[in-house]
Amino acid sequence: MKWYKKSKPYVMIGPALLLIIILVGYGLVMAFLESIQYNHSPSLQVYQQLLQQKSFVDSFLYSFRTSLISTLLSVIIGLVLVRITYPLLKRSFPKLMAWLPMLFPHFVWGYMLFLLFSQTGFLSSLLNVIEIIKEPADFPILFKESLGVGIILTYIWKEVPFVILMLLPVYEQLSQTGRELVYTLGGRDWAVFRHVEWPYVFPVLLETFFIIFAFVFSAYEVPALMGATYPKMVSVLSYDWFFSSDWTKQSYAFAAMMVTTVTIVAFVWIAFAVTKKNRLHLNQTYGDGIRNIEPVRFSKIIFLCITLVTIVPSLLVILTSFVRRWKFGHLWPDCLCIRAWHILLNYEPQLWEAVYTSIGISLLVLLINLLIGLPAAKGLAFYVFKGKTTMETILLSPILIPTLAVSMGIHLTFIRLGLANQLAGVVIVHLLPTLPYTIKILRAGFERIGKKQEEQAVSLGASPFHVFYSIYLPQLMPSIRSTVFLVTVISLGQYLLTAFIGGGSVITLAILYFPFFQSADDAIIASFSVLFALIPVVIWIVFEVFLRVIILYRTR
Amino acid sequence: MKKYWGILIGLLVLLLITACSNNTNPTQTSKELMKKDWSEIEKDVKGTKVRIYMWGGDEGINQYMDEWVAPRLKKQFGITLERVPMDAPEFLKKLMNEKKANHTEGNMDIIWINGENFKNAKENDLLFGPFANQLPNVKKYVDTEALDVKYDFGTKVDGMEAPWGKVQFVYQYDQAKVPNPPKTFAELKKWIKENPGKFTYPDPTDFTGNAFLRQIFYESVGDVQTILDKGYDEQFAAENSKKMWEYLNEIEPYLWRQGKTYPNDLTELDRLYSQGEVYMTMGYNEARAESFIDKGIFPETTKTFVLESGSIGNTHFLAIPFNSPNKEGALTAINFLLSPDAQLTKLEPTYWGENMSLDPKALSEKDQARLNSIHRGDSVLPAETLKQYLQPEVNAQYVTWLKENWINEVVQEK
Repeated sequence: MKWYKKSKPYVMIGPALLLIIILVGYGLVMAFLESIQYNHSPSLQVYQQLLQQKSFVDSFLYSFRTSLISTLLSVIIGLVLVRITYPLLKRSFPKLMAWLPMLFPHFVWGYMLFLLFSQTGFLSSLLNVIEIIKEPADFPILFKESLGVGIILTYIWKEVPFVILMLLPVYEQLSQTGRELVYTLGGRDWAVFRHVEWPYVFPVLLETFFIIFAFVFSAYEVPALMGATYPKMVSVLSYDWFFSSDWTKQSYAFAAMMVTTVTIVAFVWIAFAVTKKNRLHLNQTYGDGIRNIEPVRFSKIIFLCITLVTIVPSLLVILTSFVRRWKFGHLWPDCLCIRAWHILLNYEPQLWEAVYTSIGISLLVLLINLLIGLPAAKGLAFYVFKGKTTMETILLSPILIPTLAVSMGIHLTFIRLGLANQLAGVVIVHLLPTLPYTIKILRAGFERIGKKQEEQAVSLGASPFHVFYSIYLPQLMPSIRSTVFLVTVISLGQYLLTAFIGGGSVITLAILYFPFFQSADDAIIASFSVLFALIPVVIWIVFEVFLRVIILYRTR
Repeated sequence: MKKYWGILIGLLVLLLITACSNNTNPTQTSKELMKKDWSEIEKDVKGTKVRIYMWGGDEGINQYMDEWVAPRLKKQFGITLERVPMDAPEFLKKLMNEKKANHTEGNMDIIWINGENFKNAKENDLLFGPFANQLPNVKKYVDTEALDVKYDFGTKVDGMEAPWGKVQFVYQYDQAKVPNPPKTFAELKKWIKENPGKFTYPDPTDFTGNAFLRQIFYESVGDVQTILDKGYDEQFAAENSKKMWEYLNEIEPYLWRQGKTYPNDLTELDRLYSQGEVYMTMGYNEARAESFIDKGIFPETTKTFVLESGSIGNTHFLAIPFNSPNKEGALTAINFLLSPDAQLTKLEPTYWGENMSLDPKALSEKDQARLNSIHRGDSVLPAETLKQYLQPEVNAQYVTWLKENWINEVVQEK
């Protein structure tokens, strides 16, 4: 029993840790081995060449700058928005509005902004109609220029909802007593923020920062769509090398990804180590119940802005799916028709199968995520143990490492295990980009609840199941909701991993959908995007209904 | 909680067992299979499934496969055709990994490739074959001695892939805005200078952008034959490309956005053209404008032209991966895709509108009559014009060479 007590956190974290180490670890080793191949013999020559190459160094700095700016702005804007509007965002509809951009994969969102803000885009066209500008060239260039304005804009638009998703549970469960205490002692809003909110917000904010930073740094689609010819982001560079027809370029691709990986992981590990102390006291708090809070001033107006900002691009995409031809300088398209929808629904025989497969995979991934993620999150939240910082970094690593770097290694493993070209393989591999988020979100949830309630319940003789069911589950609900949403969205949007591991035997919606991005047929792209975004919404609604039924049953 | 470990260890053991039992199915060698009588092969495939991996971004092509080809394969041979949309570099990476892991029973039966992808696949022994020259329809209708069937971007085909179609590089322009399209590269330069910002070409990492560059390279060298005779030679390329870089640098300030940035791929260029930001676009497949006009993406006044210095044509092929689980099925399906009926239907603008890989002279009189009656569309140049300016592809390594040097010579040269 003593062994069990002592190693309890390890047991709880074990499955998650093992899964990630096996998949990512092997993938990374393979990637490293590939990166030191120089003329068929191992050497570090490739790295040396890479770091001396001007275009690579330029790209690296450019990536760093773009990522830093997008991440900082996203985090700050997200924090301000949550702070002002969280009482409103508790309800389902406002939440959905705020999260709307997350429903669309990054490149779709980028494309939507392109439709809005390019030189021949909607806004430019509108300004032309009201005669502020004469021709497309008068509209400022936001995309495909060397400052990366379009890329940053897309990421901010897309990541702010993610910041909201991460911070909302924190604010929803924030201690009212502390707040009242500060006011009683004569403190102002700023003091409340500094002393009551910041200690809770900071750790989550920091993690969110890293997740977004790593993502922006290593993601391919958006910079590929709207980046300039020079400099390219490192991710685009390595992607081009990886899929280049010149197969000798492979080692450069892997070397570039290794450099990216090392930079990000080192950055995060140091930050975790430095802030370790800051997080410790958190798990000592009491959950002091949640009360309804008065909305802050202006929160309605701010919320209206959020809604506008998320719904306009979405509506535009819906409209585009019905457009035949939309000339510059026309306020409204010449004619609306259902051609794209007709083709999509009637001539894609695999469509419905793909929809079912995608939903099935998402649900399985979600289930496993919760099964493995809940104990791991609890272990991380409530225990102090040796190697915790390292384990945290490992658990976060799948989202810090470029997927492309590990995908080849994972594929090799899966072929040997007989998991390649199988649905099971796809489900397992989708755990990689989702599990870190699940653990992050649930851990934050556990930390806010604290373990005092469990201790009381156990001393009164409650079983572990009962403790979970009656204490944690209801209080974790906001966190679980976020998890459901995020996991389904991420799983649905996985193209590369699904293509490699599913090998074309597992056709998901992403597999059908991606190739169409290489056609100039806007209506088809738009109608696919709408369908793509609808699925998580449906899953979310099903989940909410399911919850309502359970709650109804419980309260009876 | 101890249960966890139990389950986990059990799972690992299970995985190891399945890994070991991943038995090796003896791969049929090409010789054994080709010894079989064709009618026997066609009989054996009844009730099997053939999975074809091909780029899936054009619904005209997809519809041709799903609506026209698949039902006929089912009816005539009892084959279920499954089309998987995937890009060539991706499925080749997948295939390469399967080779590395010694995975002898894969899940791809036919792949659609050409050029550098074929070169990589052939050099790394990823393909089954030779098979092409044994197919009845290849024997009957394909001119196997033609250069564009014998060589794929300078790589010898050797029967490792069967020609599926041919396309030729043309420029699309809006007749309403460009009444007299240029006829030579010199005239094109003049036009670009007179119409600043209305022309650009895709980044040469893109298939089409690279083809645009190759044609200037041909002009710069003076004669394609010289390049073909030389093979791949970097020294030669460097010495003979000065004119090309000069040309590109000279037009750069007059390109779209002063040449500060280029469209990343053909899709972006097409979009610019469709929005009227530029007046010309370009691409392989002499009939590509038709479906765009039809869908309302390109203006109805879109026409095409070729330059008199020549237009590159190339052939694309179908191949069978080394670990295809249904090689007989793949052979039957490829043979069917090369039948006159399938090829003529592919040529018709209804679905795809792309040129046949068959030799028109080898067709029966009835098929020739059908060929002559097909109207490919108003934007398509007459077959004689196309044929007159047709030029072959050169060694695939030039593609890479151009790609890399373009960055140094044109983009960073400011």
